[in-house]
Amino acid sequence: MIALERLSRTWPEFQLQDVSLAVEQGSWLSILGPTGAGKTLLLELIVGAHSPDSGRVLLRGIDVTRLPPERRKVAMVYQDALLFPHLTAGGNMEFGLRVRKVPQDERRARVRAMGELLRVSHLLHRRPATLSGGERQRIALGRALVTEPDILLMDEAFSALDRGTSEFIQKRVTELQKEKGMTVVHVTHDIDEARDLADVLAVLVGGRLQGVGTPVQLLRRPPTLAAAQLLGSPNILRLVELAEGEADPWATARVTDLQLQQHLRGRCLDAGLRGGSFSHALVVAEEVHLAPLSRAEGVAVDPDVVVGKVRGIGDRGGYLRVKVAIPGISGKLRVHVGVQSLQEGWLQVGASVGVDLRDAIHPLATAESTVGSVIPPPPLVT
Amino acid sequence: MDYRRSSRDWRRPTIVSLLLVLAPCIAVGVILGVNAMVAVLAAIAIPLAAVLWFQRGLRRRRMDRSVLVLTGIGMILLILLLLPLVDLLTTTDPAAIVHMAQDPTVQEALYLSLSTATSATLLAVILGIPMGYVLAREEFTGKALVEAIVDMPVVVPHLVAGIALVFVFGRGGAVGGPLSHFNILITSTYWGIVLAMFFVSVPFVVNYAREGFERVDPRMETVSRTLGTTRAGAMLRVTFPLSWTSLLTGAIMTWARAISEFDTVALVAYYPRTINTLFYEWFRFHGYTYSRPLAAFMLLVALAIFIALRALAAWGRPVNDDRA
Repeated sequence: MIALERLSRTWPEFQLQDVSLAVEQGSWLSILGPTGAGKTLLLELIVGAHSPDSGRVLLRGIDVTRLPPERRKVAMVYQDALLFPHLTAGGNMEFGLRVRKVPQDERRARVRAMGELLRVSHLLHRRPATLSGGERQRIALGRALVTEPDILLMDEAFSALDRGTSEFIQKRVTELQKEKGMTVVHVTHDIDEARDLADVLAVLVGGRLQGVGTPVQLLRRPPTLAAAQLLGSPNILRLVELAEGEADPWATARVTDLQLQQHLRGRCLDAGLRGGSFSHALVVAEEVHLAPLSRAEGVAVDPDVVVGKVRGIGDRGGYLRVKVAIPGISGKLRVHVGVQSLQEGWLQVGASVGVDLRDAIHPLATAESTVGSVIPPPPLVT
Repeated sequence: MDYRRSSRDWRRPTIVSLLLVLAPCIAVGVILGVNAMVAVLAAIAIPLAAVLWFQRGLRRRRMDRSVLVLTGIGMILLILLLLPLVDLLTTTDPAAIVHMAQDPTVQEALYLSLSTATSATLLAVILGIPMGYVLAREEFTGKALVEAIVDMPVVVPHLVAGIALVFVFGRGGAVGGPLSHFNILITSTYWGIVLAMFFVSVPFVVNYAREGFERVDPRMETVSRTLGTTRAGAMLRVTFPLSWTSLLTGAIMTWARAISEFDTVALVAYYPRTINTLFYEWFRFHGYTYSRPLAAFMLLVALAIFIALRALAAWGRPVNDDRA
């Protein structure tokens, strides 16, 4: 089990602020963030290469904040493999066992077994300089795994690899994780990779945690503006007027109608922003209900249903992405609906539809407001 | 690192071509004297320059005059460096050199020089490598000051360094005074020579070690520690093997600097006499002609040791490949 409690550390050029999260033993945590978010530094705090200014690191329930890396029993794989160039590939894999004074026969056997598992047996006699990137990464992984760690940290370990190699390594690691109950913390900037692999997803932007949860939770309900943008949420509505000359890099659409603004802000507050400020709202594309206008007319008194015009329909494989223009909103809303809506006949480009935002709208805390007030406590995944 | 690789790429052909040019020159110089050597050097340099000129013209149409100018200037530098040494060796009677080498006083002084320089190097390595490591790995306030202090012996005139050392380690000095109560004397002893040599040469160890350590990614040490080594273990198993060429070069430079030091040594410990002190004494009391075979002998010894050490360092070089 890994728990980080309010970790903070200031470097001259960067700050990690108040990072708290917890993962159960045997689960896979992916930390997603753009370049320069502090992901690697966070891993290095867990591994013990740096010590925090404040906060605690707990591994297996024990406070290891003051322990050196060698006593934390955490394996780490960096993006650039970092094989020891003066040793052969096999020597690299043997390194941890040699340090732990494992007898030679057992050492050989374990390296051989790991070599077969990662399909690198034929490379063990070679020097790192003669290996390709994918081969190096497999050796680096083998070097970490051969010591049978119960916690494995991976820093963008798949990023520099071709698709085949990357999938092969991911498969091997997930197998081992399931088999041995290993906890994996995996840092990446690739949202698909994170979504596919993670039991728990954490979003880190600018040294602050922007959200923690299962991938589904986070993708549906990113708590902050930064998280929503990073996770590629299709509809980020700006709910306040732009000041003179102000640009909004976050929003995909702006609500210009004052009455609608007012109403949507009210909806957001109902949806549960506990304190903190917000100026943007997320419209969850899957949770917007579209209805034929004839049916919508009956509920026209409902202020949550607005009338919009279909501007485009795209097949996304399994669902449709409908672009809807709504008066009072500059920019189009993207709505995901089931394929069967097409067969019903009312959904076509140019048609007017009723757009029910009731369940779909959620406030997004601004990047500056304290994240702690909006993020639910870290879920314990078993 | 790539620039290291590329520098190694050109090193070998350049050395070969230099040897091709210089070996005949030196041979001619040894046999026929310096004037002939200069003539041969010119005879080789001029066609070589012409060939370079011609090839450049063929390859690029627009030839690069700057290369020729640079080559020419380089030749002048080589001649200036080699001429006095070759002259000294070629115009001294070999029999006199051999005779000199058999003199017990010379042998004793030479042995003392070798021994004190080795001790000074060991001391510099023991005290200098940790400092090199700290400077390579840690950031702290006052680092620039520490670096300046480490480099200071290079800029302080060596006579001044000698005087300063005497004031501290002499019988009346802040350190030498208390030590003399325990009958431990520094000035005018073996250890005085070691101290003087150490003082002027230790910056080499620190700076070379630092450069070597800086070339090893600190994350390598992190990886090593996640695999179970302590910090010291990571240094021994990873950092040292990857930087030992630098450490060795640093030690060699230190040793070379130490054994060639005269000013500081003479002030701190004139006696016992090192080979340098002995030469200085002979030169002062017996003059140029008398001391000349000794000079030639010292030069031969220095060259032999220098070549051997460079060969040792070159032999270790390919180990360090930090591409992975």
